[in-house]
Amino acid sequence: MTLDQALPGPAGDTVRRRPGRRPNPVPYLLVLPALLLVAGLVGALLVLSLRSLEGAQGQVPSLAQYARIATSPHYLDHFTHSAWLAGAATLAAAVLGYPVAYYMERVGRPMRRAIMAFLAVVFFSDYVLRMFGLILVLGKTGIVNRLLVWSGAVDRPLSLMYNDFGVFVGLVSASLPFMILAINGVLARLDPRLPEAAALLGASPPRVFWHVTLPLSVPGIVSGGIIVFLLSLNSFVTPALLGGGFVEMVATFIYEQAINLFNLPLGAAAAMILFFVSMVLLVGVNGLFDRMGRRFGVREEGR
Amino acid sequence: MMLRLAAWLVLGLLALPVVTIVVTSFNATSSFAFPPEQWSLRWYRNVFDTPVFGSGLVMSLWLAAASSMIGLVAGTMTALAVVRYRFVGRGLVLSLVMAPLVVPEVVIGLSLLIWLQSVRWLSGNGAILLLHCLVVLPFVVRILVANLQRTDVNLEHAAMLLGANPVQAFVRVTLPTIAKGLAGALVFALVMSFHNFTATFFLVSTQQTLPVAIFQYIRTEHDPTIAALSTLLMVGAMVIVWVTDRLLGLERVTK
Repeated sequence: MTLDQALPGPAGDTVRRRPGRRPNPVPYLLVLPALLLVAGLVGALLVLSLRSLEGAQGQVPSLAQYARIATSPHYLDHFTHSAWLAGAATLAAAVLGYPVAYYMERVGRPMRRAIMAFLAVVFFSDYVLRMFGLILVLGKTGIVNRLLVWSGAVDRPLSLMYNDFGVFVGLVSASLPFMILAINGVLARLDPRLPEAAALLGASPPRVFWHVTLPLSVPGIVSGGIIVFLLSLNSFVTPALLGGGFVEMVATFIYEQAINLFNLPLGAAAAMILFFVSMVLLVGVNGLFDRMGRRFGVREEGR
Repeated sequence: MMLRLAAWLVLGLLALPVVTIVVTSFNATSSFAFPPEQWSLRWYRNVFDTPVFGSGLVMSLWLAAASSMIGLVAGTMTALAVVRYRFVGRGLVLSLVMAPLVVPEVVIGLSLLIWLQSVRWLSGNGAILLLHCLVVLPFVVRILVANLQRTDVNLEHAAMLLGANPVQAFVRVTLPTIAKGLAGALVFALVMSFHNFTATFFLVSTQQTLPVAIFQYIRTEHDPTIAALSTLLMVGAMVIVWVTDRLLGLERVTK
């Protein structure tokens, strides 16, 4: 769901071009309603950036809020902690998601469709409710602790949530469908003759996988990784519910400052930082991913 | 063999919370103990006895319907312009329309809240409606661009050669050919609006949407009422997936 994938290719032969005439007003009239809606967002972002430039006594412009965040280890900790959790969740989602994406390519069409439908149900179900499901699973009397105690692995129930571990599980669980679909999208377009050729030339199945299939699916892992990292980094519901107030991430910090503590300028500055980090990652890693795609001979086509 | 085991293990882990929710919803006691010792339907009754869920549902449905209709009209017009015309700023328009998808939700929520406080003519519900239109727009444009690219513009030209004006040609020829795409985009828009939580959470004041009501309930109460409500909503999600598959084909939508 990155910008690149969202952009369709050139319109091709359906383009109406009138050389030598003044520009046709029709397309501009057609995009007007959508642009008015987006103008609402752009205007809001401008106001947000203005608020973030407010000093302690309300003087504008001032970088006081940004300086406060940059010089406070406590504030900075929210950013590094979020990045750390999001990175761990991305790694785990790739490791756990790959087998599913690969399996979907190797089974028959009916099973592939069934797994796709299951992932769609997960995707279409409410995010808040999925986190609630994890509260039930990870709680003191939840199934995981019941099994651990019953099997004698532990004496008393473990604290599996209201800590980093709970938030990590929540982030991974929320990310997996995106990761699986991103990797599967690349695997589905992979030229089947490449692994076949490697096998014909005498490579064993594990060798074919490690030296042909896996390197060719790197673009899928990267694009899935960006989506998952950004979703995790910006996550609000997961730390709010599974962190139980003990795990602070950037999004919950912004809410706390802006809404609960009425410290709008500081919240706005934190939001601007989050916005820029997201944009830089999206644009930067996408560029890297494009170059990599060319190197591996897999060009992402506009979907 | 190892692969199949690993894949099913991961899918099982994804399904575990869902299964736990359904089982817990029939728990007779107010604990989250799994598996329950006694069974009952009392939490289902409690869902209907809790007024915030009813009013939240009405608010969410109203928002979803309004934002989807606005988003569908604006999005279809944008998709038409982008697919049928090559114009200066075409790429910029596409990036702008997709922007709500890439700007973090907390940032959208907070910025609209500040915007709302500084602009007199924008009411609280107006800001929420604007937010939901923005949430819905990228999905509508994406689905319809893909759909329109598969239609043949010559059909429209033929209709116009036979005497139809451009509007007639669009309504009588193009619209029926993209009807499935429109229906699919509508479903997607309704779902995306209905489930939006984080950005909406910044803007709600007195009238809560259903996800906000659920979130607040989870934070304050500890009983399986939410499990019962979720089971009901999950049945809804399955119906929606089935309908979407009929209309668009799942492979195409989930990409």
